[in-house]
Amino acid sequence: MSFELTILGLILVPLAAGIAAFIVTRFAAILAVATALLQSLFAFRLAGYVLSNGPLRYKIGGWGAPLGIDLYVDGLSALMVIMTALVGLAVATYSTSYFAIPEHGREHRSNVDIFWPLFLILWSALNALFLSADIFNLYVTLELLTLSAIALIGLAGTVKSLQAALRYLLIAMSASLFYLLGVALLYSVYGTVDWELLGAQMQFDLPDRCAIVLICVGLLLKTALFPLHFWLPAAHANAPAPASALLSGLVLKASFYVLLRMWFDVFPYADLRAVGNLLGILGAAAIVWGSVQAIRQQHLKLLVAYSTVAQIGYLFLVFSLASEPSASWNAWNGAAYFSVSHAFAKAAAFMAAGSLVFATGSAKIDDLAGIAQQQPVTVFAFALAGVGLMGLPPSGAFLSKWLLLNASLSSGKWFFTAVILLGSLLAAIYVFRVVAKSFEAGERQPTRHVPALMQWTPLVLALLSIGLGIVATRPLELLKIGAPVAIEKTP
Amino acid sequence: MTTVTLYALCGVILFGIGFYGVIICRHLLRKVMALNLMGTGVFLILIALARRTPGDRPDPVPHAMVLTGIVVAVSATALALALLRRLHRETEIGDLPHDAK
Amino acid sequence: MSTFLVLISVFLPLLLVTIWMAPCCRAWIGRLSVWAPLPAIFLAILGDDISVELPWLLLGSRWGLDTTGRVFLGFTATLWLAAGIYARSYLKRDPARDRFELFYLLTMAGNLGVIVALDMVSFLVFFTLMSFASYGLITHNRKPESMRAGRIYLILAVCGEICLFWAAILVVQQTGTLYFDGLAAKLAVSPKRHVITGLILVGFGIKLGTMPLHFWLPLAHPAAPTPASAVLSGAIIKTGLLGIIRFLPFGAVAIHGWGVAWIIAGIASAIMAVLIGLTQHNPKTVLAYSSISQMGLINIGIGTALMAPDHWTMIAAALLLYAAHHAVAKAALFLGVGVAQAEIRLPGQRMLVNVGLVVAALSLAGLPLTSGFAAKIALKDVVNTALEPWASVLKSLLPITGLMTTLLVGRFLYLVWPSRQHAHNRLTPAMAIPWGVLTAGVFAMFIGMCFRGIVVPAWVSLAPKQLWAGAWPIITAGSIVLLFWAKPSLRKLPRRLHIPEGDLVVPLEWIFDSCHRIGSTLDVTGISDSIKKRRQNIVDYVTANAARVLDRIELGLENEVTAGGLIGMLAVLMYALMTL
Repeated sequence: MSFELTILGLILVPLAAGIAAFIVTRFAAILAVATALLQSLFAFRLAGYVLSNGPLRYKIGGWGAPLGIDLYVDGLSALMVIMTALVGLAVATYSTSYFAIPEHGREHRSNVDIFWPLFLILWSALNALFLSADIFNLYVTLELLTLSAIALIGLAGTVKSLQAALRYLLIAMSASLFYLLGVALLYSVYGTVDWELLGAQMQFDLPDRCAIVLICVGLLLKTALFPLHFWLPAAHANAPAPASALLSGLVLKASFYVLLRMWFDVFPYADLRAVGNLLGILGAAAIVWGSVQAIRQQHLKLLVAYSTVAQIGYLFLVFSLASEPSASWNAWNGAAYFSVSHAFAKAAAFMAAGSLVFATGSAKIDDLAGIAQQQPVTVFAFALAGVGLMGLPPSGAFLSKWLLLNASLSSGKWFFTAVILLGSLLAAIYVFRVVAKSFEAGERQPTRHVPALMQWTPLVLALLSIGLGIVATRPLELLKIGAPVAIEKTP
Repeated sequence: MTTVTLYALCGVILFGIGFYGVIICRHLLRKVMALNLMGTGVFLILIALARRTPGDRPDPVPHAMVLTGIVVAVSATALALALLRRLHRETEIGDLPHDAK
Repeated sequence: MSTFLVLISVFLPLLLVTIWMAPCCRAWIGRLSVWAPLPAIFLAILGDDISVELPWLLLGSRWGLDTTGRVFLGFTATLWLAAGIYARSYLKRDPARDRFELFYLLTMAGNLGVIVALDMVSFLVFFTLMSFASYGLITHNRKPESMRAGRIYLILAVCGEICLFWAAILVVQQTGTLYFDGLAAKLAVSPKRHVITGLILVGFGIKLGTMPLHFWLPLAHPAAPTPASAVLSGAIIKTGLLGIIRFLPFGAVAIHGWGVAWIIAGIASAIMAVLIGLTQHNPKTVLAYSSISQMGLINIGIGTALMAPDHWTMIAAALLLYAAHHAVAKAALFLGVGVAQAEIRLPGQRMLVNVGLVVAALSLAGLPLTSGFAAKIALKDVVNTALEPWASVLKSLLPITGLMTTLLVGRFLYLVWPSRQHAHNRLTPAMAIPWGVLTAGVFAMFIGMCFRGIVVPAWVSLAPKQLWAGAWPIITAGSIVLLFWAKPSLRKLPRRLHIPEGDLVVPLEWIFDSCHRIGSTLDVTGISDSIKKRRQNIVDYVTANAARVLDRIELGLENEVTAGGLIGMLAVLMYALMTL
């Protein structure tokens, strides 16, 4: 199998499977799991190509820019594709059981039928986004991603989920238009949308600055950085559990990935120190605000959703920390690795939460009292995912925080050191709240039987998020390939 | 002021009006329309920018972008309308409540 | 061979944990887990000094064995083995034995891993594993007081983790290396060495039970099942010392301020813990306080080493000796609690148990011909190297600590002295043999040390003068103990002076409760109801208002108009920041 087939397969196979799943609804689940397995294979092959050949570029149909579409893959995008593949595989496995439950399926048969195509198209959009080589394609894939995400939010069909979906639609679509306006401005000045060419040419006068502002604002909205996070908790908490896992684990990472690309590849030579500090401070505020709100929630899925608001904050620290050359390598790696380990931990947490909500028939944390006796595997999975969220050693988040802390110390930004540590402490509190509740002694009604796949899939994913810390050298090796020139490569 | 700048300015104003509408309008249908207005603003700018090359032949790339953008806008609008109808069927109102959680 | 042993020592318990996950395998895992420390024992005895590079693990790991590691591994693995055999019998009828085995294996993996880890990241990973897994040992019986002990332990453990994590990051950032090898020299020239030393001392001081960070220990160690108490007080507590030895730049630079502070903390621990311990009536709590006081002596050694870098080699040897001695003796005493409370039929057996308990107890106080005697002599050499006035202060203090230790173990013996009344179960060989071996260990270690000529040349230590110096505090205190034992009126005195277990934790919990109002009922004795109510009202008022403010802000942010305004402001702000 050649490189061309791999990279095209990553985008086209889920797309084709999505369309097929739409037509042949009976075999949709089998089709999706088979696609997921194939995708994991493709993803690791792609990483193999990148490891042996360095960053690669592929012109679709041999056309080339500006009219044709280029695909580009380096260490960062390969890692993101792997992340998508593994989380996607877990979500697919979990969903086969989740949607087989009458409560989630039979009453809204059409919802189940539509889940699989949406899921597969979302996957295709994610891969296409991570493999795009120009900023306009990023827009198109971002839109495709957003549209399928909106539909996934509304899938539950409840009033709340419809409202959340509509709110998300309005926000995300406006955000995309901000981004598109920025792209239009850049194109008008430089006549290209290829990020390498743009990065080499940018001048940073008035139109460029406007473009940077528009692009950043659009992506901040999509990534739900505090104080623009208002749409996130409702959207992520009201979606069906597998959809929440996809949204919190992967969809947010896509817009963050775009911003990361923009910042270090398209505007690497701009003096964005002050803006970076602003983003860093907002990130710090997000960590504190999201965690405090998470601690206060009464509903399990809202707690997990607010935890996402907090964890997104860590990602944005990179824009402040990387402005010091000595800290940039650690900061960039830390943020990239954090987004991967968070994807695993958060998807696991949402899926475990979904199983717990199903088992108790209630979304409230208080109703979890004593559930550990009856659902030990799921509670254990949630606790392990919690370890991944807190960043306890040896989880992947621990290593990411290690890198970020290192960066914050070598850049002399002590404020962020304190915030990162405080964030871990607050995370410990909200995770412990749930775990302590589920271990509470006392009589409780027997819970519903949770299918084995819904118990074990979150556990495996949570274990993976911990394993990411143990085998960190390989992924970090991969990240080195094609890392932006703007950051100093000192390990 | 050249024609291109005029068109572009118009586009920016449309974009602004649209964004204002998305924020201020209460009814969801109006919001969706305002969203389309924002899109139209961006498309107008792109079309105007196609004239940036000297000579008579316009740059085809912004045109291709506008076409793609229109496709996206149409699908987004369709999805929004479908969700809106579903919501209206369930609640009989067309607004979003403040506390959505 | 050694490489294999290093890896298998750590991975074997972890492998067993993995198999444990399958419910069908738990029965034979339990039987197998007893022998899990064996590779580590072989490694400590037979292994060469090596380091194994594991570049794929974490940020690139290095595990291995050096002199320090060998001593720690030796006593740690022995203790785990002894406790494992003991636990099979002790917990035979415990319905939750499977759970105990899980945490037992996890804690053991962490403990052995900490010792073989030669890089900071794996050290911290194993340290964390050990700390959190021992929560499961402490709260094993799920009684409210155990849960409370576990909760307090967990809070302190998390605080310690944060200090250590911070310190490790600082160390890496200052020295640029992840490995302990050659760390001291690099750290010695770092301008941040004082901050790092402080964080390290606090972080590991919690594990060592150094006053005033000790208060979790008298609650947690007795709460665990007896074999777990033995490893907690014998082996796990020592990882604090190991961490300090690994991280701090000993022998390379003097850090005088922290040295003085740590000596003072050590003196306070050594003396205060005895005074509080004397008023306890649970024998395991008495032993926990004795651990604090003994660790106080180790802390004095650490403080001295910080003051006198030139003597580091000698001090390190003395600290290792002391740690090994205390590990064995303390574990023997903890296991002895279970042995003494078992039903013993034959008078000969009872005689043996009594003698064993007395020997292990007095060894702690430095009984001649036991390992404690050698440890005390070594410690005397250590304090001589401290700067004045500390050298003379400590020199006069050491015999007093011996005397006080004797009093404390006297109290322990009084509480635990075998009688028919509180026999829980029969004394089985699986309980008696590990206990007997460890008790014999205090002699064996002394003889071994004499032959190997470590620290104490054989004949010097047996000189009459030395013997007398070691014996007089024991004889004096012993007579006091016997006096108390004999007179019923005096016997009641400790009970009347009783200080609640965990001493400092009581006011701390009170402050904590008043600040945060955890739980709905507050049991604050000595405060009238009206004051209590008013305080609750203020707390209510503040929390309710804070909650309202938080809600209002969050709701405000959800408003689209606010959001639009924020987007606009953010855009303008970003543009302005770019232009300025």
